[in-house]
Amino acid sequence: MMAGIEIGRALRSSITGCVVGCRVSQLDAPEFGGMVSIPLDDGSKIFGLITDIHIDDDGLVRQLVTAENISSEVIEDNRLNRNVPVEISVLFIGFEREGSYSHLLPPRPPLSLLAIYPCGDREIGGFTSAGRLGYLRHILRAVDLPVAEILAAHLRQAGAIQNKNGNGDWVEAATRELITLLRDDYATLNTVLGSLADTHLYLQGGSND
Amino acid sequence: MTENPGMEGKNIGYIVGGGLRESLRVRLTVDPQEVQEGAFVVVESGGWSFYGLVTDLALGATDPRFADEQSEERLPAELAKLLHGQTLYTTLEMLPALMMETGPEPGSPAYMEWANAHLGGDEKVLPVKTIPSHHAIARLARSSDIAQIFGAPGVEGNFVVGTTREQDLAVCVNLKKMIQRSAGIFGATGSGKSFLTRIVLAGLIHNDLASTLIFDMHNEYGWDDTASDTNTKVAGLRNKFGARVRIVGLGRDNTVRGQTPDFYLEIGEEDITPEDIELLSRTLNLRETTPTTLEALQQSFGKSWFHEFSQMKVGAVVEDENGKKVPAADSVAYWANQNGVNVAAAEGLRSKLSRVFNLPYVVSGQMENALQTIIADLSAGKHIVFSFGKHESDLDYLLVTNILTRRIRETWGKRVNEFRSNPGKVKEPRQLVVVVEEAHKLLNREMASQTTFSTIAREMRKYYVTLLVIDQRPSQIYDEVMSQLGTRISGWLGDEDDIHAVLSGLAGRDALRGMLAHLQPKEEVLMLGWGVPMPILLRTRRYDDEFWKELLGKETEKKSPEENLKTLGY
Amino acid sequence: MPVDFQQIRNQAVEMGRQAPEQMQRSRTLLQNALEVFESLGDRSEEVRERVQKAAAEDKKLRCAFPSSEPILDSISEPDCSPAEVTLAADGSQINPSRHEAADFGVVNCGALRMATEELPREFVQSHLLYFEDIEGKSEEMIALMRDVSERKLLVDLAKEGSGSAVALTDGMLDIYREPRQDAEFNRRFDDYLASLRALAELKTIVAGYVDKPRADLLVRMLELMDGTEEDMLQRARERPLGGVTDAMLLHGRLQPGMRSAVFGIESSSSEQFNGPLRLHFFYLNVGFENLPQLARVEIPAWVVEDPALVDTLHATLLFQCRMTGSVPYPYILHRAHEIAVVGLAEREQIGAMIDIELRRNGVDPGIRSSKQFMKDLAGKARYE
Repeated sequence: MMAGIEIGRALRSSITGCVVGCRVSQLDAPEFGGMVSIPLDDGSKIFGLITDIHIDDDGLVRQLVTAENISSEVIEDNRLNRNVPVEISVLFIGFEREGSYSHLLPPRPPLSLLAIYPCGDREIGGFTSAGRLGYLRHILRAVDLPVAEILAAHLRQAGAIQNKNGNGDWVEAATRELITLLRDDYATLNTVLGSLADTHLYLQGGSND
Repeated sequence: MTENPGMEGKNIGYIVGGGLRESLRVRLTVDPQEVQEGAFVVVESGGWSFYGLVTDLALGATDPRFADEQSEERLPAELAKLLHGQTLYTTLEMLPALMMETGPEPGSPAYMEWANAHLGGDEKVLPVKTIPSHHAIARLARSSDIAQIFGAPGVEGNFVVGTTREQDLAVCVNLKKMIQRSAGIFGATGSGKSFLTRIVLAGLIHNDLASTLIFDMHNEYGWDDTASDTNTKVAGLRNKFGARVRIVGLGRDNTVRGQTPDFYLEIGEEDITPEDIELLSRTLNLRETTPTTLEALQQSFGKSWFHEFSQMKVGAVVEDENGKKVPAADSVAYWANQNGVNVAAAEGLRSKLSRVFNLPYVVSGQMENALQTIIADLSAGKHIVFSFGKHESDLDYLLVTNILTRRIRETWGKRVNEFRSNPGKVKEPRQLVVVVEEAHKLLNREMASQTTFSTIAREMRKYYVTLLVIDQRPSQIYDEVMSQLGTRISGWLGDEDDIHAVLSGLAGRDALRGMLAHLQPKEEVLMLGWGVPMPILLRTRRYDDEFWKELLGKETEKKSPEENLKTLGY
Repeated sequence: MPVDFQQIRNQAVEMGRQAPEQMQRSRTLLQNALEVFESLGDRSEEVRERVQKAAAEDKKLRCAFPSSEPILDSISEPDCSPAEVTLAADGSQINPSRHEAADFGVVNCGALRMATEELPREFVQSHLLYFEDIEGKSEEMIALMRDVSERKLLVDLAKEGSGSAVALTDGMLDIYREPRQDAEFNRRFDDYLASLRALAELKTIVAGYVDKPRADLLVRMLELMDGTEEDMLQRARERPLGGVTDAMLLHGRLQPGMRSAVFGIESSSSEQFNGPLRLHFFYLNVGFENLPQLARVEIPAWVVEDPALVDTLHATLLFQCRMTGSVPYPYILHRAHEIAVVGLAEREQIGAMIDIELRRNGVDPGIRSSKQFMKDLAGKARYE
């Protein structure tokens, strides 16, 4: 299991998600829609998707741009040293306990300051293969989130790993599940399909021919 | 040989709604083009198998917008396909007809119990009384299903009339059961009725289940014919069955297709009753006064009324003592005055009846010999094809068929009574099927009470005589008679009333109406009614050499002289 | 509860009414001060003597005295380059709150090292204060600990490299406090002075940068000179030029990029800050043609003694202030502050972390005081 480099630490949380505070340079910034894990003290692990990356206003940079010229040292200092203060919103999609994955919401939210890590291929593959894609409903239930974009980003990430593992029909199964869940919500379904179409996941028709 | 080997027994969908009164609704899980109206479908649920026909297909969508929008233009093909698979669907309506207990899974503990309970009993096929559960799987029929319901093709008494359209599975009809009641073969002109009739007759003749008296109005059945549209040879019953089939011509010197019939029949004047004439009211345009006049004639002359009347002259006058013109003694008027019959009526009748009097096959006396021969042949198990030859008018048809059938039925009636009184001593009469074409001319509402045919239809099998009516205007047939018909085999019908008529007397068959109008002419028929376990849509078998080969075995193959020599051992 | 705006408004009206008169008064005072100032042109020696005398009699006196640079000099931006290495350190603290469950304090020091053509480097030192660290310690003590940490960090950083170096901190070098009997206080103060000496030894130019100076050290010096020597102490008490700041005085006199002459600080703290550490200052206009902005820069005596060092500092400060464009402030100080600053969120996180550790070892962290509980009721952010 790839532990990965810690993204940040939980600031505030509830049963359905949390906000992570961190300072990351642009190179290491986590991806929108990417899957993350929060190891809890009891050995279990909460899984979530990144639904928002909020970069706060930087007063200093605003000042710097008013100067006549900016020295290369200052530019480098800002590019590499001055970590952008970032708040990452995470939506919980399930958890793992004693080796088995669950797509239910975690029984307890993470306490403040628990570290968040990007998920490795094995975790992503394992979690998304377990059960019957039930975790998708957490994403669909969220309000005020760009659901279509999150799903597209997630399917792209998980789909690539599933294809690599030889499960060529995972993307199709996930798509089908989404269509089923959204069958009565025409507007949302349309938006979701539109963003899925943009992922180019469906070009060759997958490896399930 | 199955055209679609993958189709047999294929799952096509699952039950989503419907009920006993309405049809069952099935959500299709295959492309709609794989199933057609009329397909024979089986649903297994709760230990029962339900058998039915597809009567309607309809497109649906979980939301009409999915149907309206061409998402395949907006989305990649694969994605659109997934979307459509969930949101666009086809529902088919299945008319359930029969059900049968299938019991639990063989090998399960419950199975032993069930098997013991049903030991020795036949699995019974019942009219449908309950319905399958939600989501029960619907599938196309297998050959075992067809065999279960309609009988297996190899078994004796089961005659293959056609195949299911989807999978080409052979469907049989039990001819013995079929002829227990009068039956009908219907279809618009050109829909292949006569071919179907030939097939059924071939089956009857070959299996020796009854004698048939075929009134061959258009000279189609006896000798080889040529199909009008394809110009191919159509085998005749006589050609195939040889001496078992006798061709009888109407009137002497009447050749049928250049061939001489085995014997001919002439109608005797004394065979014609007033009722026979009344039957011709419309054809001859007789007036309401006719019955009175006829009765008077019968009163006057008894059995020879016909002859006498034919000798009377219309308008014959003589001069009397006073030089006044008075009706001659041999005039119609004279007789009319003598018997208190309206002169004008009588004269009118006489004029109109000249057509009948002039019929070349109407001769003096009676037709005893020919008739007896016919009866004897029929009793002996032979078959009569009664050809009208050049006498093809309605008048000929109506008059002759009615007289003949009346006489034959009388004979049969007597024999049956004798048999019933002395079952040990008297031989059981031979079952007789009278085959009439253009049945609406004989069985319409006006004539329904008057012809023997309606009597036969109503009596059913009481006197061992049933009808096989062939008609293209079933709506013209008196519905009381129609409802007495058992098996009905119908080809394509265009007229609403005709469709309605074919289905009359059969409960809850609204679902089948559309099907009759969608049949492929010359290819497909719908078979339903008393003699058939459940309605079924068939692709009729072809009436060709293949058919004859199968029916009769290899003997009918025309062999070359060389081959013949070979079989003889040279 | 919000203020009673009606009450305030009435008072604001009165303030507005009094304003023009106040304005006029200020203008007059400033005019007077300028007159005095400009009269001191070549009288540096005289001024020095008078200040010395005044200080001898009034221990509490705190004012400027002239250095070797003429009093009225304005020195333009020097030709020399900014220092090769510039260091800045800042500190931030979390004070222990007796209201909180598990009492702790934090001193967080941040520093930035900028060198020509090198990627600037950040440094952080975070100290958690607990148990004995905070027992009986006041906020002032914690502040002193912070000041000491800042300088110590600078010393560590100054050890690396060669060539000219400047070490900046925000605010005065003179962390003047009431003299105490507290041994620990004195010890820490000594540490502070030791750091300054160490930096001197490392030849790192130490300076304290005061961004919006409100000092009136020069003005007090003028008050002493504005009249006879006999009345000077009285004047010092009465403050005839009270309300005028040094910045006002020099406002029109320093063009952008110019600095004032260096002055020494006469105060009681000169007992501790003595010898090479004797505190001096100058004013620097880091602003623009139409918008002068004066900063006060405190430096120890040993820097003053070498004019080249002052020039280097002058050039470095201007270089740094130009980086931030329209609101001039040394970039490096801003960054050091950024690195050091600790907020409420961090406080809560650290508190939570400590809670966990205590519990892990079977200790109940205790309850918040009622007062703190009530304060905390409003404004806790809920996860949305």
